[in-house]
This record gives sequence, C-alpha cells and structure tokens, in this order.
Amino acid sequence: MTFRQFACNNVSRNKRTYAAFFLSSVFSVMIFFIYAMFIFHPEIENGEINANVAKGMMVAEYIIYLFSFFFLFYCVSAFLKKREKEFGILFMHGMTRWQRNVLIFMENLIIGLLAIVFGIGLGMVLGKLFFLFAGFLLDVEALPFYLPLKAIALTVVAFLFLFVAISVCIVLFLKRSNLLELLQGSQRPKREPTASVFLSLLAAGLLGTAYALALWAEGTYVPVLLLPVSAMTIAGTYLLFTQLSVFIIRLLKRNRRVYWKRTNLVTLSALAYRMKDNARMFFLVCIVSTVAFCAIGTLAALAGSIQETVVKTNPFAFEYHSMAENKQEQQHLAMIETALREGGFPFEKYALTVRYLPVPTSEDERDASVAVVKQSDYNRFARAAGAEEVTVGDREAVYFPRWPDEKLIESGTLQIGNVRLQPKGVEGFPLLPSLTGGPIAVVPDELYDRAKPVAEQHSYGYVVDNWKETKEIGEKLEQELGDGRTRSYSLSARAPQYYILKQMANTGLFIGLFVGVLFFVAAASFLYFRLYTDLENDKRQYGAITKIGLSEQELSKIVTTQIALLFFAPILVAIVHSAVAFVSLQSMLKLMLIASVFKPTVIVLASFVLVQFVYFWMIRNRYLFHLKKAVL
Amino acid sequence: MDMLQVRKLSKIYGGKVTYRALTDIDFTIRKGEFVGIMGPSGSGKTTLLNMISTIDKPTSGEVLLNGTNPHQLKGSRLALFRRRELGFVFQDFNLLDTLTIGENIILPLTLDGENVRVMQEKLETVAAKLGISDILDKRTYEVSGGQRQRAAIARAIIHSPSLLLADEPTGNLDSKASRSVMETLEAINKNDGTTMMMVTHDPLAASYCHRVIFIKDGQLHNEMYRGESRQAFFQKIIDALSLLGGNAHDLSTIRV
Repeated sequence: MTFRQFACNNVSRNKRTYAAFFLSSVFSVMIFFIYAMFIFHPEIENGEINANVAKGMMVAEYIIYLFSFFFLFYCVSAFLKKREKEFGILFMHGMTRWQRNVLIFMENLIIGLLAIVFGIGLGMVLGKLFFLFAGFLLDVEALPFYLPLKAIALTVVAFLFLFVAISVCIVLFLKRSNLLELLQGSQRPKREPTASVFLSLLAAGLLGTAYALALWAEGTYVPVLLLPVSAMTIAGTYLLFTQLSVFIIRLLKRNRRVYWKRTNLVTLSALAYRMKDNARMFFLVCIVSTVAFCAIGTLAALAGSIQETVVKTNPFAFEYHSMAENKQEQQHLAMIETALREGGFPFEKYALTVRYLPVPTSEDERDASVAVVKQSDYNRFARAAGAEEVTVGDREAVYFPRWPDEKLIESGTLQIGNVRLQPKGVEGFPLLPSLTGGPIAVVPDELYDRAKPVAEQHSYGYVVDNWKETKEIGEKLEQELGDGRTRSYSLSARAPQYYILKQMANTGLFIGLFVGVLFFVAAASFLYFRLYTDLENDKRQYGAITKIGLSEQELSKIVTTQIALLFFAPILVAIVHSAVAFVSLQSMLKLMLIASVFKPTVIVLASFVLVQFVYFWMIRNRYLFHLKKAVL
Repeated sequence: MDMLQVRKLSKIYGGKVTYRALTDIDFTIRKGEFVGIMGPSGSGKTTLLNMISTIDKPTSGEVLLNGTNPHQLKGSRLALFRRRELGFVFQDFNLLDTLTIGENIILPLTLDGENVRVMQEKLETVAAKLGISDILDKRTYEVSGGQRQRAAIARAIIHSPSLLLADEPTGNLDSKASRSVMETLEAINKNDGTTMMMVTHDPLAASYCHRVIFIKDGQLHNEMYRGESRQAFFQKIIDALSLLGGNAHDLSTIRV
C-alpha cells in the first residue's frame, strides 16, 4: 500500500460518510454545468432567446460558484473535525504535517474529480429535460441538444480550481491542536455552553427592531432600509441561535417541574449540550432558507403578475400616435388595420386628439408644454380600455402623475384663454403613458375647444380580444413603421412587450428556482452531516440510558424531538423572517404594479415545508433504525 | 547500554486549579529490557507514558531515547522520530477502520515511503511471527479483540523501533487473549531484542516483565526484579499492589 493507495482507501471505504458530501458536490457541479450548457448554447449566442436570459444565468452561475465554495468548505472542515482521532493515530505513527496536508489534498481531489465527472454526466443526461422545461417557462421552442464542449471545459476548470482552493484553505485554517487532544477526539468531554444575558437581550432587541422597521417601512423607504434591516436581522439571528436559545434552555432547566419531567431530562440536557455545535449550522440554514424563500416568492409574484402589469401599462393592443403634421398618418393606420384583418383579428378602433398648451412659468425644458385631453374623449378611451373614467369640475384639470409621489404642476400654471385651471391629482396609473413625455391633463370639453394649441396630436387605440396572438403582427408593424419616437409618429404594440417581459420574469423565476433548489439541497446536507456526526455519540449515550431502562417509544420520542428541532427550528425562523420581508416587499412592489406576493409565497413556503417534512421523516427513520440496531 | 533515560521528569497540568501529576521521575531502561509500570488509578502512569511517547510535553525534566530528546525536535523531525524510533500499542487498539488488518500493519512503512516489495516481505514476516497471517485481508470489525491487539503489536514492531511502548495492552481483552498477547510480547522481546515499556493494571501482564516500576501519587515508589519464576513474581506484584493501597478495582484483570 503506497501513500496514494492509502488516500484512495480512505475515500472508497468511507462511502457512507462521504455520500452526502459527494452527492452535494455532484449536485453543485450538475447545476453549474447545466447553466453553463444553457449560457453557451449556440442558439442563445445567436440571439434566439433574449440576451438578458443568458446574462441572468451568468449571475446565477457566479452565485452557485460562490455558494459551492462556502458550502463545500464547511463540509470538508466538518469531516476533518470528525476524523481528529484518526489523524492523532497517524501522527502517532510518524505522519508529518506535510503528509497530512497531502493526504487531505489527495482525498479532496479524488472526491472532486469524481464529483465533476458524475456532475457533468448527470447534467448531460438531464440537460435535455432542463431545456424542455426552460423552453416551457420561457415560452420558446425547446433548445436542441448539442455537444457542450465549452460548458464542459468551464465546469471542469472552475471546479478543479474550487476543490484545490478548498483543500489549500482548509489546511491553512486547520487548528494546531496537540496530539493528546487529537487522540481523545470526540470523546473529549465538552463544557456546557453558557450564554450571556446581555447578548441574549441584544438578540431579542436586534430582531425586534429589524422587524418593527421592516413592518413600518412604506413604499419608497423599503430600498433605503433594506441594508440596515438585513444586517440587523443577520446579526440578530446569529445571536438568537448562539445566545438566546442557550439562555432559554437554561431557564427551562432551572424549572424543575419541566426539566425533571420524564424524558425532558434527557432531551433538554442533550439540547443544551449541543446547542453551541448546532448554532452555527442553524444560522447558516436559516439565512440560506430566508434568502431562497424571499427570492422565489418575489420572482413567482413577478412572473405571475406580468399580464396584469402589461395590460395596465399598455391599455390597448395597438396604439398609434401621430403629430398633426405627419402626412403618413392615414397610410399607417391602413397598414395596421389591413394587417389585423389579414390576421383574422376583429378589432375596435378609438380615436382621440391631444392638444399641447404652452406653460410659460415652468423651469424644466421638458415641461414647457402640457398635453391636454378633452374629458369626453378621455372617458370614451377609458371605457374602451376598461379603466376608470374621470370627472372634471368647471375650472379644473385632472392630472395623472407619471410616477408615484410626483408633484403636480403648480396651481395656476395651466391657462386656457383667460381661465386658470386648478390642478387636481388622481390616484392610479395614467391611461396613456406612452402618449407623451410631458404631463397630461384632462380638461372640460368646453374649455378644450377654446384652447390654442402649439401642437396637436392624434392618438388611436385598437382593442383586440385575443391580443396575445398578435405578437408577429406587432413585431412586423413595428419593424415596417420603424421607431417613430424620434419622428412625428409612434406605434406601440402590446403583445411583443408582453412576451419580452414575460420571458424576463420567467427567466428570473427559472434561475431563482434552481438556485433555490440548490440552497435547499445544501441545507438538507448540512443537517445530514450534523446528524451523522452525532450518531456515534448518541449510540454511546443512549446505550447507557437504555441499560437503566428506556423503552423503545421513549427513545423514539426523544430522538424525534431532537431531530424535529434540528430540521424545523431554522426553517421556522426563516419563515418568520421571510413573512416579515414579504410584508415590506409588498408595499414596495405595489409601486411596480404587482398584485400580491401573498399567494405565490404561501405556495412556495408550503411546498418547501412539505418537502422538508418528507425529508425529516426519512432521516428520522433511518437514524432511529441505526440507533436501535446499536442500542436495543 | 541505556536505551531510555528519564531525568527529573515533572508534569503539572495548568488550568484553574493546577494539578501535579508527576514529580521528579528518574529511571533508565537498558537495551533489550522489558519494563512494566504499575500503580493505582491516578498515580500518573499514563501521563508518564505520554511524555515518553511524545504525545504530551513535560513541564520540566527530560526524556532521552538513544541520547536524543524528542521534545526538542520540531515539526517533521519529530514525526520522523516517532516513525522510526517508537512503536506504540494502545489499550483500545486504535486501528483505522478504513484499512484492512494488513494495511494497518504496514502503515508506518507507507508513511515512510517504503518500497512495496519490502513492505510485503516485512508484513509476511511479522504476521507469521504474531500468527495473524490469515486475517490480513479482513477489516478491523471482522476480527476478535485479541487478533486486533496482535495486529496493533505487529504495526508497532514492523519498522523495528528502538522502543515499544504499550498502554494497557490487555485492558480490553479477556484473560485468554491477554495471556496470548503477553506471550507474544515476551517472545518478541526475547527473539528480536526489542526494548519494551508497558503501563498496566494487570498483575498477570506485569509478571511477564523483567522489572516492574511502581509509582504512586506521581512519584517513584519502588521497583522489583523478576527472578526465575514468573509465578513467584506474580505473587510479589500482588503483594506490592495491596501494600500500595488503591482499591479493589485496580486489582481486577479486566478493566472496562
């Protein structure tokens, strides 16, 4: 047996220990590879799918890579901790530190290489499925399979580097403990963790403040508060698990009627003992889950409300605006109508005239004129678009803010003849946002007719029932008419915009979903490692207790409580965190016209809890099985 | 010739309450000698062994093995010292579960980068000597305690160390296995001339030694040489132990 064979044996005969680590590595490699396959797909490079999709994927790729690094680093260091005694024995037989480092390096490389091979292999197999799913979500035809040489090269290089970097870092960070401690390994008695009252209170304070701020924040304040609130939540969560939880357990232990009651004695004492070990893992799992919940919830909400948003911002399937001097107006209108008729789309046409009035006192060049619309015209348009009608008083002008909280034009600046109009704001979104760059006002019919405009514009709206199918017509017309914004006319079609937005939102969801799944798998593996590390100790401890007399049911109860806590404590905190986050997100997203994050969020959280529960049940049964085999 | 010299060795454990585990221990072991260390629980036997085996560092005093003080060696030179000069047998065997019995035995040679053919030859020789040739391909959990301890002894002597250290080698074995392990050690000592030092609770195991050193409360108490009869030596050891005090537990053959 040479040294190299020794390293191989260590890995190949320790399959069960390495299984979870290996699978997580494979999974990370696979997701990374599939994304790379997508990014480098010839049809994406040719521009078949919106370039933003590939850009978003690139960002996801970075996130996956960074996350894989930290995650695998944690796994490797957890393993080394478990193998302390083994290293002690090896040192005893004259292993040098250098040899230890080489051993760690070789073992990681073996696992890394295998993970890369399996990850890429699995990625190839599942790639087609992924492309189908992507095509479905992005509303394009599924991408054909291809030989992804670039993606393979990128994945191999990236992950080889990752595993090497992890091995180097691990060796650098390894504690120089003495041989005696190493040989005693995990049998070394640990001290019960203590909690500081101050830090426990600080934890409660930080979380309380963060929640209060998040719930209080309205609309535009949310982005400003995002950073401090997140920082406070993260710090608070860390202290919650390291300090407050220990503190609470100590309080419980002080109450003898609780502590000395049946199996509570065993459960609580074990809990107190392990809390410090678990705290950091709880913290990681909690933060990772919160991020995943928030991201997926928001993305699902975004994707779900695209249609509503587009219909609001583009009230007509086609809009054509033309300045009075445009000679091609009738020709363009004929083109649109012919195209619609030929496509077999029945339509209704609405027309409206806009007059631009000078505003002498305005400082801003852009606001040098105000567009005014006749009240009866506007309401006819509004009815057609299914928007709210407005009522305008005798000497009033109704303004639509172009963005939330926009200041209305100063009172008296708008004048028709010798009548100064009183500005009145309305809630809601302007019906015709693409009408004009400047402010729009609706004025009484009689006043409108008297106005002497500097310019006049004719607008036409087409209502088409099955507008979603007019994508091709819209694109063709937009191309034929050219971008009219710089000229004297403009055309905007709803369907092409809808598909662009939908593709972007679905890309977000698509990427978020897979990153979220990766996070979930990682969190699950964290738990698996933790349990696996505890199993040996538990066998010894419960072995001792069963000799005193512990029934099988009682053993099951203790273990189930402990594992359930391990699985659901961080998730529960994460759910509370994300619930609070969603409340404040909701108030921000309202500005972006998104209906509600409530429903998609509940669906995301519920399915997550369900999957987690299944995983919990499986792990619990396996764990109990091993424990009972050793103990009873 | 003195193989091992221990001079004025003391160990004080720090912490909130300092505890004096060993005080001014002085003794020497000659080449080829088989020495047992006995004493009641907490007398400092294992601490002494840990100092000599370089697992732990002494507070003061020195250990010289063939004239070298291993506690002054740094880094890889200490590792090389352990690898070439010392062999160690633990109470709980400390075989690596991931390796077969054979692989465990050649571990010190593997770490030294020895030629595979040489390793194979040495393995066959040492396994034959210890009577474990037929279990070399088995994994550690597939063999009995006595076989495991003999594998551990094989691992400790395969590189022909200057000094073989054993910490309660019979502590986890039944009396039959104990006897066979002790006979093996005695034979190795006699045939190969390996110097041995063994810490034990077990008077029967100690009776295989040439000399037994008794320590009590961290200080040397007395020492006894074995005469012609092992039986008589065994009796003397028991008498000495009862004189030393300690409790009945210390006299038991099997310690759990």
